[in-house]
Amino acid sequence: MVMDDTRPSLIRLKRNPTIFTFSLGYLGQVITFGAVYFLVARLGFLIPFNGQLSVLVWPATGLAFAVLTRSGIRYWPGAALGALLVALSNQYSIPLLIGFVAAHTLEPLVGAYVLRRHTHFRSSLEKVNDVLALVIIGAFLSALLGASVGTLAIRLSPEGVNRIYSYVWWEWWAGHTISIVSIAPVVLTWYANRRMNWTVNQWIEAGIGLVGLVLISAVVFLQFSPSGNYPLGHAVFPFLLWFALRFGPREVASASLVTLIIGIWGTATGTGPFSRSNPDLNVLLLLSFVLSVILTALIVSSVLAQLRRAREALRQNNAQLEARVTARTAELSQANNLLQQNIIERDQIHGELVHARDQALDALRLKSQILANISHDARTPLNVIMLRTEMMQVGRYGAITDKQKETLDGISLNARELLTFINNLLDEAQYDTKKLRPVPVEFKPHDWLKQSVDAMRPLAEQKHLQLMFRVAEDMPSTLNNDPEWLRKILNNLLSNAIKFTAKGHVCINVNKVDANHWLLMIEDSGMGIPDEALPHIFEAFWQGDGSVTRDTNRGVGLGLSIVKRLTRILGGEIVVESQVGQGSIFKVTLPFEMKKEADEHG
Amino acid sequence: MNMAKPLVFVVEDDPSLGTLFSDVMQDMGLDTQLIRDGRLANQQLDTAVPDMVLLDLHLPHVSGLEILNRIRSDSRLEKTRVAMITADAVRVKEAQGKADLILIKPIGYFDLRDMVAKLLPEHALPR
Repeated sequence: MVMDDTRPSLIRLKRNPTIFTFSLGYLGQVITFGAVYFLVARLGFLIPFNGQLSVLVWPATGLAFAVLTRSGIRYWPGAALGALLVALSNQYSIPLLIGFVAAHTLEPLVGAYVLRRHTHFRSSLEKVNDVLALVIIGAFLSALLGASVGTLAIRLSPEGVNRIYSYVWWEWWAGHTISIVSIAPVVLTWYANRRMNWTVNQWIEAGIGLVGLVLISAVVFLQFSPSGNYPLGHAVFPFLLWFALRFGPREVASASLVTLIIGIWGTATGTGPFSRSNPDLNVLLLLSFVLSVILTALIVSSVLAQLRRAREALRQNNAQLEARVTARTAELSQANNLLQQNIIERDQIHGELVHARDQALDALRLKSQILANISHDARTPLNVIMLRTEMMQVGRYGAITDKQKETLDGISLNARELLTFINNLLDEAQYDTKKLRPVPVEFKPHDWLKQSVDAMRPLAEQKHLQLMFRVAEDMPSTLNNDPEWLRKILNNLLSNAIKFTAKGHVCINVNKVDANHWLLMIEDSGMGIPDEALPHIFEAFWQGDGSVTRDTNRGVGLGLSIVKRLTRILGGEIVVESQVGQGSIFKVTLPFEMKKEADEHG
Repeated sequence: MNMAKPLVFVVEDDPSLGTLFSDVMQDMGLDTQLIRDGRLANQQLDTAVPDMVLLDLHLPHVSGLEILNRIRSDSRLEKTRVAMITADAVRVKEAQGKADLILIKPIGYFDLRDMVAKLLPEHALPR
């Protein structure tokens, strides 16, 4: 019988249950259900009973209860059809037929409706609540309602004459309770789980358990006659509990049914502990036995199922947790490896950087050493040249002609240029090795300027240039700075101005700029500096390209870069204005007082 | 003016420059002795007492600074004037306070005249 409405074992709250459906499939299902109901009902008649009713056990109502609970109350017409067929086959009178059909329809319909509507019922019966709900509703709602309606129908029908209605009611209720609580659990649990994925060992165990249960049930219920029956009903419990311990509710319900069938059969045929002379007492004994078997077996099995589920959930959680821990550990380990690798790489890079820095420092030291050596080694021969020239100039080697004097002046001029260059080289070397530190002292700007200019005067005179200087009247009488450094700045600028000026003048002006600064300005009427060269002239070792001739350009490379560097260290700034063919103006702005820490190297 | 010419030791390892310094000194009416090596200078100073030493800082075997220290610690040479000459503007500071005069190369003709005028005033030539 296939009546699965695709519902899972959990039967959910249903506000508006469907009572009718009109489809061919539904009609076929209802007819099939009715036929099965009829056949199962006829089975009840096979069990002899001589009470007020002609039949005690009504297995069809247990089936109907389960089907309507599991598949939906809209299948009630199947139960009605089955009951109708039974009534017709028994040739009931019309009143009894109507009452009979109504009783057997209402019984499963109301029970299933309440069970579906008012409880979160699982047909797998794995919870104690579900077991209790099934038994209580089945016994005290469905069977009670059926018994009441059925008794009323019998009372009103011709067949009800000469019957004791209280016994009718009692027998109906007891018989239907027995039927519902023994049959419905089997049907429901098999609906909930139809798979048979047992191991071989489980098959063997189930087989042994079933054989044992059948044997003990047979011994208890079928062996002894009424005169020799003993209260041995409890003997079936060990086997049922065995099933409960080792299997699920489905197997327990099935095994219970086997025991109950044997028990009912024995009782009905006059053997077993419940077979006494009073049939109504027998019914009571049988009812109590059925209820205790079902309740005990199903409750124990549901409790164990719950435990099993909890244990399984715990195991799964543990496994999940373990998997997560493993994954996380792997991630951490990977991250750690990466980190370690990064550290190693960084250490390598660090080592390379240190090496590169050491090499750069070595190279810098070597450069400084080479520059210092050049400066040092050039001084001795330069000294010879200058001294010989001077001795000839002063006539120590005899009288000289004008032409010779002019030549000697030229040699002298170039020797001084060479000396300036050598001094610059030494400054550059000392700057790189940080040996260069200004020493501020107080000095008189006018005297300082006069001395410096006078030292350069012979060079200007040789080229017939006008060399003038002027100190503004508002300048302080003393300054606090390094006069030797300032002299280097001035000498470089002045020597450039004289070198690049063919005719005209070179003027030096010293002015006050503001409360803290003064300006040293060197102006010439020389060749000027091309615009494209202006941005580069303060760069070390830079020399102009083809725009100026090689001859006039020599010496520019180092001097201006040193001037700029010294100016910066002294806390000043230098700018240049120039126009090709007109001349150049170098403006050096300097503070009156040197800062305490002259550490602005670059 | 003493009739005896003052004695000047020119201690300079560069032969051209040493000869030239000697020439200028002799030209100024001084007796000169050219020494090209620090060890030789020390040996000469064991016996002679020069009025002035023109002393190069960098010398073979014994440095100018050691000779300067030796002169300053020798009571026999207490009247000897020392002019330190060098091309090393950095290291020359070590001689500061000990030498009577420090000259940095290149040293011109007039520098030498000024030096003689300052260290041997009684022998200075009129300019």
